Amino acid sequence: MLGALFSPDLSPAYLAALAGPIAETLALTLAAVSVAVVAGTLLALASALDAWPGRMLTSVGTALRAVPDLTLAVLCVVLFGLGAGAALVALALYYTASAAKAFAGLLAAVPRAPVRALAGTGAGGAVQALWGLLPLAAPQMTAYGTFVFECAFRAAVVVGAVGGGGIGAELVGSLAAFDLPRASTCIIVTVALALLLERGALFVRMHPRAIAALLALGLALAIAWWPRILPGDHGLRAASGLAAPYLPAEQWRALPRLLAETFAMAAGATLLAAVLALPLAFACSRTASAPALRLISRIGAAVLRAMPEAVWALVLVLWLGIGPAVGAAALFLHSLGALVRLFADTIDAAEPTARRAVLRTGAGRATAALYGALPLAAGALGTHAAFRFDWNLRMATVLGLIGAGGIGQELYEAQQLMHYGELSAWLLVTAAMLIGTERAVAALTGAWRKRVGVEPTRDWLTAPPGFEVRTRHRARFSSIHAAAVPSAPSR
Amino acid sequence: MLHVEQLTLAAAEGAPPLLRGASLTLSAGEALAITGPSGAGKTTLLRAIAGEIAPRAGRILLHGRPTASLVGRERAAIGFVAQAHDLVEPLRTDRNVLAGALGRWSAARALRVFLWPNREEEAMAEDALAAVGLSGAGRRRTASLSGGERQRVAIARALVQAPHLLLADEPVASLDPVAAQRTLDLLTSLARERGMGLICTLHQPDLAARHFDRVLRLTSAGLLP
Repeated sequence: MLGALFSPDLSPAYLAALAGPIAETLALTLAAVSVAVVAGTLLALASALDAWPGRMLTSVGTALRAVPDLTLAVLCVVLFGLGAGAALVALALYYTASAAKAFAGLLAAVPRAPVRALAGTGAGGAVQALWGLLPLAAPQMTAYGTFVFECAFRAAVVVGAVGGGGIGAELVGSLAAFDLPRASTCIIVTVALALLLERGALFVRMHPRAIAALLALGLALAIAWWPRILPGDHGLRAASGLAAPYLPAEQWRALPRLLAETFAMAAGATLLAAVLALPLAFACSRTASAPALRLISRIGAAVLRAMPEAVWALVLVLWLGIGPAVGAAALFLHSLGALVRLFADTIDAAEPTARRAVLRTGAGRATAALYGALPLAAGALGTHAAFRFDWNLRMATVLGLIGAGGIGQELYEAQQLMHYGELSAWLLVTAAMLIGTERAVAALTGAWRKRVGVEPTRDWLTAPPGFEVRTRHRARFSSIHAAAVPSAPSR
Repeated sequence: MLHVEQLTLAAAEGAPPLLRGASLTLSAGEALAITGPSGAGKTTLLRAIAGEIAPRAGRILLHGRPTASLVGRERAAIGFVAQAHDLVEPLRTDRNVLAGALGRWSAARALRVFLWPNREEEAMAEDALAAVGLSGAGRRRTASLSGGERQRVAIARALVQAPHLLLADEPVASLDPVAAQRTLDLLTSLARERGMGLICTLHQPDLAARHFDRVLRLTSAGLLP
């Protein structure tokens, strides 16, 4: 079986047949991200200017973000039926909420003096936003937008796997038919596209004019795909079921076990990935490692994180069977790739004075990074690991849809059996668990930063895991978060 | 034009007053320098005159109205050139200069000018830049300008704003002596030509005496001649 997976079907006929699904996934991603960037910018501006709908809608968005994107897709499929329309609505809603929150944070972090100066000329709020806030926040917003694109691509692949079409649907079809050479081709194509998009994101950041063209194309696609029909009879029945959440007694009894399973999956994977990522980050580091070692380890990490967790799970399920072990292994592999890159970037971005001082004693580069950079980066590394746990917990509920156990599996089964009251109850459980954990993680990282003496900044709290701002003027920024570049794609 | 009467000011709520019982008057076209050591409260005084800080006691009136009561478009009556220039660095220089006119434009016009300024607006920016000796710099990115050039762009923005009163906080602090002389010449001659009141804070009493109609020293006892 393993051999079959390593002999991909690279026949010209199959590769040509994949062009359609690939284009569909890319177009879906572009459409959803364009809606998210435009709507997220408007919401964030309304929030920054204290316009009435801004704060309210951002709060709604925060609640929405508590539901993972794939879970939201399941919900949209229930309401709008299978197809690209449901996938588009789900992705657009989820990333709009994400973008609104991140953009609001970026706008709040903009230096206020130039904006106050514009107010002093008599300019009104909207004009101050256009002439001051947006230009000042544009580099960071562009970086975040391209980061969202990378994330949304992986999500679009996975959403395709649960009925949204595109390359994800092709992958699931191949796996279901045990056509492993074709499944393997789909995986290779997904990984290659994810890597290409990482490069493409850098290009877009350097050429902001390309963004306007991409947004226009994306919005046109979104208009073409947006579900025309309102939910029909089935959708209305589903909606009324969803409005009355209900769990039978045996499900209540199973709840502690399911919660523990979901937590264990996320915690085990995060802990193991964080421990292994630290030495591997040194191998990837610009300041600590030799070029050849760096290249090899960077490529390895890039491949690990280019495969979405759900795709890892789909593949691993062939060997490990269904159950929480598959979920934990999938989360571990993707997290390792993401954390290695993040840790390496963080170590490289640490203030260089101490490292140089250690180098002057005659120490080697790795030793200098260990003694001169690691202590300075410790706060950020802890925060990254904590945010990764938060993320993995979210993903652990999603992987349940693919048979990895935990709450997600119950949620998916409720949807398949059309038990909408139960589906709604599991959604509430998921949201409560994720919001509670997000709060706890924020409190813990706050305490950790205090302990290691890192000044808490707004960026730490608003930037999602893996998001860092990389611009051409990297040296102009001093803190790790404000400084860096496109982040390690975190999913 | 400007009447400041028995002003008591503190830098922050609960902080001890920096300034007690300060008074001054300024007529149109007059150039006034305020000197004093660092921390004396020069910037706080300018911000209070601009209506950004509420005084503990006393009144600040521009054309008979308290400056703190100027809101929205009325604020364009007072121009402020901050020590840190406060330009929107990612924008082109001409956009920063044209920003001075935002108080006179509708939101729709502000959007149009942001994207496609017409010839008239381009000429407005170019005239202001020429007045401060930066002719032809409109297409440069503001972030690429030197400290002195940014200072002059901030002044050009204030010129486009065409205020009745221009406040300049340490406008020559980051300039070499020659550039400092040139900037002060520019500010004072513009004030006289346009009939605009000008108040500059300065560290250097000699420069103040050479360029300004009147010089006041800011001390804990108030504003002294």
